[in-house]
Amino acid sequence: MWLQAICIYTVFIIIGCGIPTAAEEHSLWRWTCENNRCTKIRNEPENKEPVLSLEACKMFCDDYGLLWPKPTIETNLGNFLSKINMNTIDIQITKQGKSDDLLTAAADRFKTLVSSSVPKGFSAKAAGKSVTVYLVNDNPYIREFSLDMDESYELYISSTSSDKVNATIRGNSFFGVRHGLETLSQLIVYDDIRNNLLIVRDVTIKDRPVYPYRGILLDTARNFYSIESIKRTIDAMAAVKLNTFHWHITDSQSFPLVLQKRPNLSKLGAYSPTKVYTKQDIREVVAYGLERGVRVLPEFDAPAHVGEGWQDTGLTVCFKAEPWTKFCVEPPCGQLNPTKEELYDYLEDIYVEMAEAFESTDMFHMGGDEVSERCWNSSEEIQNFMIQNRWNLDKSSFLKLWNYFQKNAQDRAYKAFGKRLPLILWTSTLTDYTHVEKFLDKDEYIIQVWTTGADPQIQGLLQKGYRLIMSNYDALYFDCGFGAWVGSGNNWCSPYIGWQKVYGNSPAVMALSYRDQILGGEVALWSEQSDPATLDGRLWPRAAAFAERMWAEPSTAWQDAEHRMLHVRERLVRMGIQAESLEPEWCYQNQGLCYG
Amino acid sequence: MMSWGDALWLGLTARFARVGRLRRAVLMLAAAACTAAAVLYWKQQTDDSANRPLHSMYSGIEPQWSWLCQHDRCERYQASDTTTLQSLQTCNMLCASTQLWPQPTGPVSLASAAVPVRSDRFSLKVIASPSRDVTKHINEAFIVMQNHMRTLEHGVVGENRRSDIGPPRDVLVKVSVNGSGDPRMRLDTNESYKLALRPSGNSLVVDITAHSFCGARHGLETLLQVTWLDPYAGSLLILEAATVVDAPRFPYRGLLLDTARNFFPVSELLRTIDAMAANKLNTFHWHVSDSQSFPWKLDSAPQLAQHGAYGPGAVYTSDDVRTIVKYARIRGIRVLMEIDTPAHVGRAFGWGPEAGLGHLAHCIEAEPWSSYCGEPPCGQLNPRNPHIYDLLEHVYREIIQLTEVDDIFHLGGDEVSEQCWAKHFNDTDPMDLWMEFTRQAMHVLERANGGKAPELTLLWSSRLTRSPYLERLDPKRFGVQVWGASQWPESRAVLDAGFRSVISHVDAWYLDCGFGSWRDSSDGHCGPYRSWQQVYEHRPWATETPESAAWPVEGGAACQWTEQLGPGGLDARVWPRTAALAERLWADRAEGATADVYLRLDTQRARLVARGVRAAPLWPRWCSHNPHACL
Repeated sequence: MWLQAICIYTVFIIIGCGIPTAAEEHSLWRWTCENNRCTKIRNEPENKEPVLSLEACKMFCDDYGLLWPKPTIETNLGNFLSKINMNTIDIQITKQGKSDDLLTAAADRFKTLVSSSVPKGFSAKAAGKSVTVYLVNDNPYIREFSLDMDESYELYISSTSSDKVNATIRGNSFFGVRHGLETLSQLIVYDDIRNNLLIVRDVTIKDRPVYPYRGILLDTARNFYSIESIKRTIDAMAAVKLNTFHWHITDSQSFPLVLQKRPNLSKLGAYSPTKVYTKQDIREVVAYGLERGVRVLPEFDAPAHVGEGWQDTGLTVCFKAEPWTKFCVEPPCGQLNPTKEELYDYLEDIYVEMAEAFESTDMFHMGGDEVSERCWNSSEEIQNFMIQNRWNLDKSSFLKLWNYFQKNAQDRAYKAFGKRLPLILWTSTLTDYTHVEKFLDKDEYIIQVWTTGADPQIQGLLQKGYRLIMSNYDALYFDCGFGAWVGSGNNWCSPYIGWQKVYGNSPAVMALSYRDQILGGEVALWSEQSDPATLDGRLWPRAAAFAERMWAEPSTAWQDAEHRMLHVRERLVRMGIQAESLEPEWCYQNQGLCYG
Repeated sequence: MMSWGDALWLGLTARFARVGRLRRAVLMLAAAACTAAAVLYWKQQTDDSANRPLHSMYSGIEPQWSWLCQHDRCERYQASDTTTLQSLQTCNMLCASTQLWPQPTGPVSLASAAVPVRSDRFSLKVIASPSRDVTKHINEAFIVMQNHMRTLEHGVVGENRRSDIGPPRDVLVKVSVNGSGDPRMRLDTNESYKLALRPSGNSLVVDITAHSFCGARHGLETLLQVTWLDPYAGSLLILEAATVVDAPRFPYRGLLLDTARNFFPVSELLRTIDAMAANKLNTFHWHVSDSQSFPWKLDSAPQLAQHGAYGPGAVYTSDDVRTIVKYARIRGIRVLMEIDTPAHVGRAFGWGPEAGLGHLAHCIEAEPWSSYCGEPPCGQLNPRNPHIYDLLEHVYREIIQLTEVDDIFHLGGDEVSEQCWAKHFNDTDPMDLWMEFTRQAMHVLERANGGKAPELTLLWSSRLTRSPYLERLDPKRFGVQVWGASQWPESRAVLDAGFRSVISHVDAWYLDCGFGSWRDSSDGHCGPYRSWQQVYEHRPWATETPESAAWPVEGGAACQWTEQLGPGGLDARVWPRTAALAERLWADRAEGATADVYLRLDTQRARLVARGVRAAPLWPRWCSHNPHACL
């Protein structure tokens, strides 16, 4: 307790020196740190204690202050807050290299973040210390994403003189240094009692992520999303150090991807001529992502989940087949016909243009979701093909057919991307651990798991050496919990998944001794019942809970993270993200009192 | 092309068949429909080439799809395969479904042809009005309608409309109100209206007749719904002719928004009210304060917000309230402000001792909270402190002055903790204290209302509205907002006892359910999520019991409590589900969520989005394009 009193007192000295302002005198409330939580108390006129704003109090009332996700190696925030002048932040890039443009962009973003830490309707006084930020990038030539890229960084803040604060961020790549800037921006808080910006003064942070793949999937086919809303999502991802935007760009319902060589796909397949993504649009998103350390990963889901757009090609079977429940999981049905030679030329053209548009991607997602054997079996042409190959028309033969498709598609993908890049597939009957090695090479394929976290497939695949990305639907499907859109009742994966469950969803617990084979995880927003109107609220702040699980794999439960979580939600809102509210604001102001 | 007179004569039989087929469901509602149809002008679309390429709004990109009305539904075709190029919006408006929301309750006849219009070519003529006040309101409501049309037109790129859809028509809107000179939404307001839209020479004439301003306003809202943006024509279109006779089934059609658990800026409230107007809802139930915060800065008791608001940025001033009330009034909506007492109060009432008034409330933020209230933080007024009644009188007076709603009032009365009072008063039954508090609150309410009790004073259903306490309440003065589950016996007992009721059953019309718990990782207290279909299909008054026929149901309200909702998520949480409630309460059709309901609600959702409301989508857009396939 004595130490804590000292701490509060020192905070007071730094921020409270000088004549109290009118605002301070009128502030009815102040916060004080007691038993590791900030308590709201009346600011009596006779009060002699330091008058702390809520954010200033929270910064020192927890080992991790207001940081999200929490750093993993070392966190020392000291005891001091210094008043700073937002207009005198200077950023120095010390080593030159071909990622300089990215660092410059990250520095600009940092400044924007600092100004958005002032809530709407308030302004910060242009008075206080000046801040110099030194960015030291030990490998300034790296600007490519990879599964083994180094995202670690170190951050030091110190006050060198009475009117100056220095911050140094050191990293082994642009990606690490950029993360350091995000962390630094979280160490600047707004004091709404005195209208000042404050920075934590004596800081040492060493940090690196636990998992290399930390993603969000957005389905832009069931409903269309504007480029602007996608960029907004990437902005929020960067703020919580997520690094992969998985773009599920097409599906049976629509084909918004514009291809120069196969223009009919989007012409017939887009919801309207304005609801499309051109190569230029995608490149814009890719560049936007790169500046924010977010890879934009393309998925072309095949051989199922196709339909609209392919009308005139003659390459699909059971498109819009009725009753749909017989041939697919939701309307409209549709599957590629793997027996057509021309199909693979089509695929190659698609892949080539995807490779051109998604220029910075180091991986490719080939889909492989929910293939219906009944659909293929409904085509005489396919039946004949199988009979010619001396295959039966049983389950295992349709797996052979699927494998035939996958092998051909794989060759075309390698050709299109010009390299044997890692490929990703959804879990399916093809990836069943009892026979997966017959079809897919563990060094070529990464499996994305969408079944439950308790599925024995997880251990089965890990034992066979496969690398996994976890998207178990019982914790990471953010479309769950709403009314059904076909049929009655609520949707198939109801109920809604609260942030607590997301936070507690630990891949390490599922992987046990095979943790090194878990590349990370991904939140999925399937868009049957979502569009730009609901996007922010569906993803945020729940995806932030996921981000801390992925970055830090904490051994603690959500209760320990709750007040930081409420704060990261406030931060997102200030950035312009329409994040859902998790609790009454009262709980944010009265830490620890909203227990269950 | 035939003139109107020719068409009337030559196509008589066909016209009747068409009317009968197109609007079958509606026509069955009233025998008068035949008469209505007989006077309606009609035109068949005989000349397909007249519909051929209008201008595309997608500069240079030819539309790929055309929708044609076949077998009473819009089927999608590749444009190259058809001779008629028609947008989905226009097909929907001209095909079988009325596309109106909520569905009118009287006879409806709608033309299956459209003509171009422009917002600035609409003009208003008030033919009859009982007061200058009503005239003024009609003028303002007309401007609101015109502004919405203008917003639609902003979707048009450039001014380069092709000429072959013809020049935009002038539309003269003639409004007659014969009845109340009071423009306010009142319990006895007759909200019925008739709308007749017909061609007259080269222009269109719309007659809207009603018995109140609110009724006339609803007519304008319907007029707005038969006007739409055709993206292929790059123009607003309007049905060439229409007659609608309409009146609501229930007089009270509300939405509750809780602005205390989390704060919502005024702009959010205004947008919500505008969306309510689009659905002909008429009561914005503003649950302004609660234990967590008290954002309203009253002129007569500013201490409440000073101590109770989350911060200086989370306050409603009296001017804010006036703005909201005026905005709502023009949209036919009453603002019912609720300051919930004696429970659901908090720190806002904590300043009594320092002001020399003693404890105005007890158990403020008492721990452990589960002993003294339903969720943190606790707080309950001190019923033995006479100052509390003076304070409430100020509060009530200011509510009535600002909202100008004096025929209906909400006293709250939700979830009183007997334990809290028992801790402080061991000489009496807490239920007696509660009854006495309610009596005194009613007394000061009368004083605040010029010595007269409001016609209907609402209380939340609670132990006080259960036997044996229910018998001690006067059904002539009190009404009950029933929030308990529809199957709870006490939910029915209130109605059986003859209390006027507003239904808000938690199992159907609580919009906050289904998002998990905010205090732990369980699934939450009232899950699962209520889908729009569940909201729509809830008809508790249509049970098989003989008593239910006599139930004095005033209507219902959807409740949006906001423990887990902030401004960002408001629209998608409330809409389009509250639109589903609006049709339930307006039309109360016996059918559930039929295919036609899906299609009309999908169109209504698009209207809301065009109005700037971020309503959630019902399904993939693909289903809108291929409506039959997802049903």
